[in-house]
Formats: sequence, C-alpha cells, structure tokens
Amino acid sequence: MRDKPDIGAVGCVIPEASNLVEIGSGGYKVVYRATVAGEEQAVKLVRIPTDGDGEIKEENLGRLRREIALLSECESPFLVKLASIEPREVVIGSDLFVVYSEERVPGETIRERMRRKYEPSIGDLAEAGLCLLRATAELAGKGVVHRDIKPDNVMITGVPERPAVLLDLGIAFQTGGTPLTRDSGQLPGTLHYIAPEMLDPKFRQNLDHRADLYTIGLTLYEYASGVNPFRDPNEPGYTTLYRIKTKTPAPLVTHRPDLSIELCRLIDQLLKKLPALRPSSISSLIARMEGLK
Amino acid sequence: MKLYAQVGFGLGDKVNQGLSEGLIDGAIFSPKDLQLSTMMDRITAVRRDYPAADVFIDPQFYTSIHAGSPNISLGKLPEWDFFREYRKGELEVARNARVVIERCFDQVAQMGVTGLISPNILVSQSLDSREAVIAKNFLREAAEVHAARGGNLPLYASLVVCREALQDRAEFEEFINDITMLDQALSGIYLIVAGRASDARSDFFHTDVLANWMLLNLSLSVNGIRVINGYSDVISPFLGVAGGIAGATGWWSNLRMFSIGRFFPAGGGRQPRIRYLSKALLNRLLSNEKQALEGFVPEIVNGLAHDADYSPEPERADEVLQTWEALRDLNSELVSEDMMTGLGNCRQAVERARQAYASIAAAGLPLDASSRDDHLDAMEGALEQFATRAELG
Repeated sequence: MRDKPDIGAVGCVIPEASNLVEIGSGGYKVVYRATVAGEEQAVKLVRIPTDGDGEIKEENLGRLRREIALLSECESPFLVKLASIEPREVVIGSDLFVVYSEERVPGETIRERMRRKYEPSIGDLAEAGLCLLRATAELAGKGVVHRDIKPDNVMITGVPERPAVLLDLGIAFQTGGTPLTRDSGQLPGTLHYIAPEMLDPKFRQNLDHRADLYTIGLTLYEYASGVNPFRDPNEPGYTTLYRIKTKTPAPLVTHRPDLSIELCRLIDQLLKKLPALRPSSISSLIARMEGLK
Repeated sequence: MKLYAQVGFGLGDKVNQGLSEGLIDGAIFSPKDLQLSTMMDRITAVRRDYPAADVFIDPQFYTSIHAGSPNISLGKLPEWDFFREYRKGELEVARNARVVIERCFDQVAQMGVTGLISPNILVSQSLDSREAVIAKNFLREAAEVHAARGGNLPLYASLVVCREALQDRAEFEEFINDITMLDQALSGIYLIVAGRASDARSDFFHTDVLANWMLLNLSLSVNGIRVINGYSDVISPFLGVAGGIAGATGWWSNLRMFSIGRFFPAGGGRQPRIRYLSKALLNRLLSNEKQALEGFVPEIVNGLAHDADYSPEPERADEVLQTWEALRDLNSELVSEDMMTGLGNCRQAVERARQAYASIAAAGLPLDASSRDDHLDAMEGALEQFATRAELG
C-alpha cells in the first residue's frame, strides 16, 4: 500500500490490539500481527478508495463486506477464519479504512519454505494439494473463485487437522452474481499467478473454479520445483502475460524425477491453458490426490 | 479403442459376421433403416449370441427439425414415439426437450441395448448460435433425466456438430469450456461431426476440423467423459489417441462419414465401387487399383485375412469386413495408453503413408481422385495443431 498510515496512528484506532507488527501489505491493504484479547491475530487494515465519490465508497465498502461475509460462512478448516475484531470503519488522517481481524495461522508459507530451499516430498505436495482442493471445493460450492492462490497465500501449519491453510480472499470473484471485485478493466491477481483465461477481456463472463485449479497446479509446481515457469529474469516483466498465454511449462518430472509420474502429470494437467483440458471435478481430483499420498 | 458397426440400410448378416470374427465390439443401430420389430429381433439375437457386444441405438433426432422438408427420407423413424417434426422454437423450451428425452429413453431402454444414446439436434453452423444453445440444453437435460431415473444403462449424450463449427477456434474453445462444466456431469458422449456430404472428403480431412475433433475427445476424456465417435471411419485411431473410447463405421459411404444429406437421397446413380482400406495409405483404394499396385508397392496390402476376399473382388456385403479388420488393426497399432506414444505412432503412420504414395507415384500408376493422398496434409497438420494446443510438447 502506498502512503501507509503510521503504525502509531493505527494503534490508536484499534485500541483492542497491541504489539502491532506489520507482516504484509498489498495494493489497498496492510496486515499486522497483533495481540487481541490475549491471542495473536492477523489484523487487516483496508483502505477504501472513495475518489471523493459516495457511490464509489459504498461500492468498495460493499465489496469488502461481501468478502468478510463470505469468510464468515466458510466452514472448511483449510480456509482462514475470522477472529474477534468485527469489521468497522475507521478514519486515519483523511483516509477511510476498514479494520477487522483474522486468525493468525501459525506456520510457514510455501514461499517462505521455498526461500530456504525446502524440497517437498510427494507427501508434502499431496497434503498441500488436498488442503487447497478442499478449500477450493467449498469456495466453488458458493460460486466463488479465489483468483489469488500462490505460494505466499498458503500457510503450511504442521497441524494434522489442517496441514495447509489458504489465506486472503481479497480478490475473490462471485461467478454468475455480484462481483466481489470491481469490473475495472484492470487484471486482478498477482502477475505470475494469473490464469490464462483471465487474459481474455471477457473473462468475467466465463470464469469458473478451473482458474483456481490452475493456480493450485502452479503453486504445487513451484513448491516442488522451486521454479515459476512464467518468471524469466532475462525478459522484461511485461512479457510475463505473453508467457502465461503461450509458454508450456516443462513437465514437472524434468525438475523432480524423484516424484511419482502420476503426481507430476496431475500437476502438469492443471496447468493447461485451456480450462476444458483441466480436470474440472474437484472431488475426482481429491480422490486422485488421496491415492498419491 | 473399440470399433462399432455403424448400421444402416442393408444390414444383412454383416454385424453378426463382424462380431463372430472379433472385428468389431458392437453396433450402433439406426431407426431410419430398420423396422422397430426387426431391430428388436436383431438386437435380441446379437445380445444372445454375443453377450459381450455393446449395442446402441442412435435416435437420429437430428432430423426432427428437417422432418417437414418435402425431400426428406425418414424411413422408419416415424415409428418411434419420441419422433416428430419440431421447430427450433419448441426445442428451446427445456420442458419440451425433456419430454423428447424421456420418451426416447423409455422406448430405447426396452430394445435391449447396452447403453443409451440421447437425442439431440445438429448444430449446423456455429457453436455460438441458437442451435448450440438448444444442443447444450439437450446435453444438460439428458444428464438430468438419466440421473433422476437411475438405472443400469450408461448414458452417451449425443453431440452432433457440423464441421464448420469446428473451424472457429474461439467459439470452439468457449463451447468445450462450457460442456465440460455442465451442472449435471456427463458420463459419456456420442459425438458426430457432420460434413456437407458424406463423400466430401475435404470436409473431414481438414486440419482444423481434425484437430478440433481430437481436442473435443481430449477435453471430454480429461473430464472423465467417455466418447464414442460415430461415423469416424479411418479417423478413429487418431480420435482414440486423443482419448476417445470408440469409433464407428459402416458399409456405405454415408455410414463412414456423416452428413444430414443422408436423409435427402439423390435419385439415380450407380452403386459405389468396391474399395480396399489400406492401413499403409490410411485410405481406400479401388479394388482394381489395389490389384494393379500390389506387385509394385506391396506395402499397400495389409497382410490380413480378408485380403483374400480381393482376388479378384469381394461380394459387396464382405467389403465392410475388410474395413473393420483393417481399422481394428490400425486402432491397436496406433492407440496407446500414453498419449505421446500414440501421437508418435500416428505421425509415423502418416509418414509411412507418404512414402507409400511416393512409391505409387514412382510406379507411374494414376489413382482415382478419392484414392489419392489429399488426406495426409490434413492429418499431419492436425496432429501438430492438436499437440500444440493440448500442450503435449
């Protein structure tokens, strides 16, 4: 977030939170680790752009409320849960924000694991894949596409009941209903993790959960291999979208010949550009992944 | 990959013979060409004598919106309860589609079939059209009716599309994205690609048409949907490589390749000449061409049992046995569990055909137009296009 508010000022508007430490930030959002009611929580501060226009303000507020309402409805243990700070509007300086809290899921993100060159076993990959598929199954059942599954948004917990948890529904999209994000013409998502079909200008008409299956595949591919197949340090960043649309990743088995060929093929299959060529049945995918554990 | 007899007029003893020799795995019957009672007798006999055979009835409902046309020949189709002339507007109503499907299932299930093929219309121009919406609605309704009724017979929902519809890549991809995500999952598809005429080889042997036909098989099979390809003839092994579970062909040219023109018979004309399906050429030769060539280019001969029928020429009823025998062999040679291996086999088969045609040219023997090698460029192009778009490396 640009022009982040001073952490002291944030503390003043959230008096129930103490020991605030910034742990992440996005375009409109800052996330703090904080102590609330004796436990550690993730406190989210979301700027509400108003552009001086009441209608835009209400639209943005409405979207955020829907995201939070959606989270509150989700029962999957593999999706992050809301915590004790109920969403409320706060003003810091002249800017409007909404503050609320989510559980602080202890563990290590897949990104953090990758940074320390952790090489996941087939069991690690199948377990993470299963949690992500189950989380996606719940979202898909509500007609929602997460759109931002990536190594940074998957927490590996080490807890047997919920070995991996999917974080951040900030740009989730309601299929066939009210969009949870604005139809702004801007591409939502994170550059290297945009599903190819989202590069179609009409993607909102056709988007479905297979976009999340693609990003699950990509996250597992990157976790397994340590390589994002669409990131190329020798090419300018703006050519990434071209690569997403046209480049076929090297088969995963070429990076990890020690993994089972079935798992590698399954992950490769999820990365197909054409949604119709990805297996669409999440329950079948779960069954296949179970068989690979 | 399985091979079925595409049954039409002049059934005779062909299916029984094909089954008894193990050349085919079953048959797809056509209501147009057999009286209801005769069809039931024939199916009963097949099931009794060949209990492992698969038996289906293609309801041929795709003729219903043409049924009022003065030149149409519907044969015995009007004997069936579900069949009558419909306007597109009627079929846009889901309730009407459901009634057609329910009546069809009721009647077909009593015929002793091993699987149900649901009715549908022909998408005659574009996959982004009113007809395509009706066709998708029929797919959806068929799956729902079948699921609601339970029962033991597997469902193959009909999808009948014209070859032009397979030429618009954007529409095609949107369509397959849709049908692989229907609310009620499909278990199987009976897929027909229609040309303008059954003998219009260039309609079918076209790079985009073949590549998209293969992609349809792949996208459906990836999603657990078993695909039976009707009227697929020599294209069958390519479709098997792409994931299809079965192909079908019959004894007339209009049972090898599909056209709605089959129901608008032209008057007169002479009987088609007897042909020989050469595995090496991936094509048929006239039987006299085969005789003339086999001394110079021996690889055009399959080396299979029914080659003996061509000394000098088989009975017309036996011609199809040679077709089935050659196709069964081609299927088993080219189709592989591993798609990359299968694609490699197909590429080699096309290359082998090119070499055989080069040998024929070197021998200086002219060929009939439909015996020539026009199909090979389309096949080769389709294999490359399919591999690229399916990201198979």
